[in-house]
Amino acid sequence: MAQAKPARTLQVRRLIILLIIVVLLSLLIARVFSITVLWNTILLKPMLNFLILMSRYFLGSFGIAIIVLTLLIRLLMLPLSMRMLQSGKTGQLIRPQVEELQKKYAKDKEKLSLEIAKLYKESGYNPLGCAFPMLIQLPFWIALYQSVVQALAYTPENLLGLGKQLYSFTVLQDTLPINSHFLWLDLTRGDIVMVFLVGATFWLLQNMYFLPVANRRQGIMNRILPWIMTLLFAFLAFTLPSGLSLYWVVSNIVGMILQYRVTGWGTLKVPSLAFLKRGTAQPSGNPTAKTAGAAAAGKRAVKSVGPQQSATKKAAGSDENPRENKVGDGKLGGKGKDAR
Amino acid sequence: MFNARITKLTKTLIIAVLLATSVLAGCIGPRGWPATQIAGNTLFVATMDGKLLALTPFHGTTKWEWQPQTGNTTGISELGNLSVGNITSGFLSCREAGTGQFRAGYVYGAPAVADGIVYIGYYSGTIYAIRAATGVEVWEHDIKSNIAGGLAVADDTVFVGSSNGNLSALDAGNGSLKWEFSAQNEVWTTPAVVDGVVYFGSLDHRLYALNASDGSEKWTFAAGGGIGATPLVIGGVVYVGSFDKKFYAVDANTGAQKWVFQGAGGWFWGEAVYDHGIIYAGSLDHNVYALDAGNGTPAWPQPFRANGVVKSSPAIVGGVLVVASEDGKIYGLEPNTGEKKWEFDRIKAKVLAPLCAAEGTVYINSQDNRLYALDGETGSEVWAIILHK
Repeated sequence: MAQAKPARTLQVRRLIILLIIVVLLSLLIARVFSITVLWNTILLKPMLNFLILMSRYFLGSFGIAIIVLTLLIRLLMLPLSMRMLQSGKTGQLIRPQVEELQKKYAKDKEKLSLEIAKLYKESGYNPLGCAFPMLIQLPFWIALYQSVVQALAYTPENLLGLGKQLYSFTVLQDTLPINSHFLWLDLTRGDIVMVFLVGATFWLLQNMYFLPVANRRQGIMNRILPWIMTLLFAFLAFTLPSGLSLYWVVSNIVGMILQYRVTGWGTLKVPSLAFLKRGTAQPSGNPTAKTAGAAAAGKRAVKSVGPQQSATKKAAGSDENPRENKVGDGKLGGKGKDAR
Repeated sequence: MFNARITKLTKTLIIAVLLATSVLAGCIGPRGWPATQIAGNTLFVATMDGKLLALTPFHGTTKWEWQPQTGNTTGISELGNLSVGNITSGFLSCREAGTGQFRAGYVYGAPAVADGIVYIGYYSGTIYAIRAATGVEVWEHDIKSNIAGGLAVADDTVFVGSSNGNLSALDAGNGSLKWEFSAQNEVWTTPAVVDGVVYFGSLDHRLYALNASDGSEKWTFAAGGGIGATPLVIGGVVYVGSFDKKFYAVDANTGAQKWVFQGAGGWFWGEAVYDHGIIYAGSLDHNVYALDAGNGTPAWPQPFRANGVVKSSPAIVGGVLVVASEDGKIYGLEPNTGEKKWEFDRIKAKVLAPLCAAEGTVYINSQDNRLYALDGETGSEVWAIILHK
């Protein structure tokens, strides 16, 4: 009975989301409004007007307004981000079990798929979950980009766009034109320092995301992927207004803090700073606190694992201290088959 | 399988980021809203791709064509955007991607014509003087800042505003700089020169009046918002709309406010026109307002509601007020009542440039690089040409 209740709540939630999607699609198909109107009304206008308002009240600085907005967006997405980070970590921790299954059912693809799906379900891992936090930020990036460009009105076209998107509050009209300078930056233009900052924070974040692995091929990929993302975003930072780069840098720093709390330093080789992690002991602290915190983290990561699921339980066990899973000698986890 | 999933995720992520990039790139950068100027029996048309054309008004056939030479200072290199030296441009543009050619430049507003010379200013900051009869370049001058308005020519002087807040006065004969006046923000209006005084607005919320001979300040008028519209000077009064949604009448001699109209719901950007004691001005709230020039009271029972924002300046053609909305609809209105006489809806692109009218015909530049000639009385199409080749 107790289990049925959350399931019913989940069903109701899904039903509501489905209903909203159906209503929106119907309105779009019926041309009650267009996608542009929907986009402008829901994302662009509120963000643009909020930024302009913030720039008025935060020392007249548009840069500070961008930082405040970034922090707000990250705060709003915090529950989702944490869930996805945990999911991503779980995915990496159960990799030995996946590889074990791959070897075991190498000749039976159907069975392999079923077993892997079962493992994912038991461990609470969603394969799409790792990319989701970044994907969900895309609309915000685009809207923020449009807001920065329009608010700072670098070109007459941008100013014309701004004229159409402003709410009719006098305070907003009075704030224009906006000062585009923040620290050394002209927020309407690319900046070489921001290129490096964006590249560096993306590289660090990506490297923190991946845990060391025993699989050589996967390890190579884990090393290449951060570079691809780093170069891609450095290029974007080079060519797009530095206001957007500012958003990325602040957002990445927040992301790194969150990531550190979930996976530690990942594949980064840094001096041990484990005491900075929530729930872990200070260097001179008591061992009880460390155990309790690590256990709590492990519980979050694989909360759906039942006692009978030994494979997943091993992963959960290894979650108690991610640093212990990282093996300088190429082994992953003391309990995984590969490690043996 | 696990590796395959991760690879798939990575690909998804990269594709999503690239898609976002293309979305971002798609709405970046200036495009211009070039307009038409008529002088004698020639139409001078700036095009979206940076050319200057001289056309016959009757059929739109080309007399000559001119464009800045590629590779000179007027262009911004498409590929050059990737160099550190050009990072100040800082924007991607996909419009001419892959050509590697220097872009001709963008034009906002109409060319100016005086004493057989056509003057045109490009967004990149270069002003050219071209011989009107032959299309041969006379001189060029780079003011080192973006030009987002038209030029005015009077008393052998070319006046131009720019994004660095300057109003520059150049010698019309050789392009040398006579004087510069600095406002506190962008000057994107086309200046108006009347009786030795140059009037212009700035995004710093001010309307300026300078002595045209030396650039000394005569007066300034503070509006509640930026001014992007070209001032209209009639009978000792300067009429100008502002981004504070108000339309002002200011004494041309003293800068004192005579009246203000506050009934609009959007910015005023396009230049107003005057006819028989009435000022007509379009607004970004989709409306066209008719105001009594003497006291600013509405002359129509209600403003004319267009289908889109009204950015371009209206034109009086014969007895018809012609207005264009951004969505490409052209309306012929009865000037006294604001009633619609005709509507032309065959333009499938935005119309942002000021309209040009002469001898019963109105010329409309659309953002898809076409030029339309419409009969002012009936709204029927006289001719239409594609300016892009």
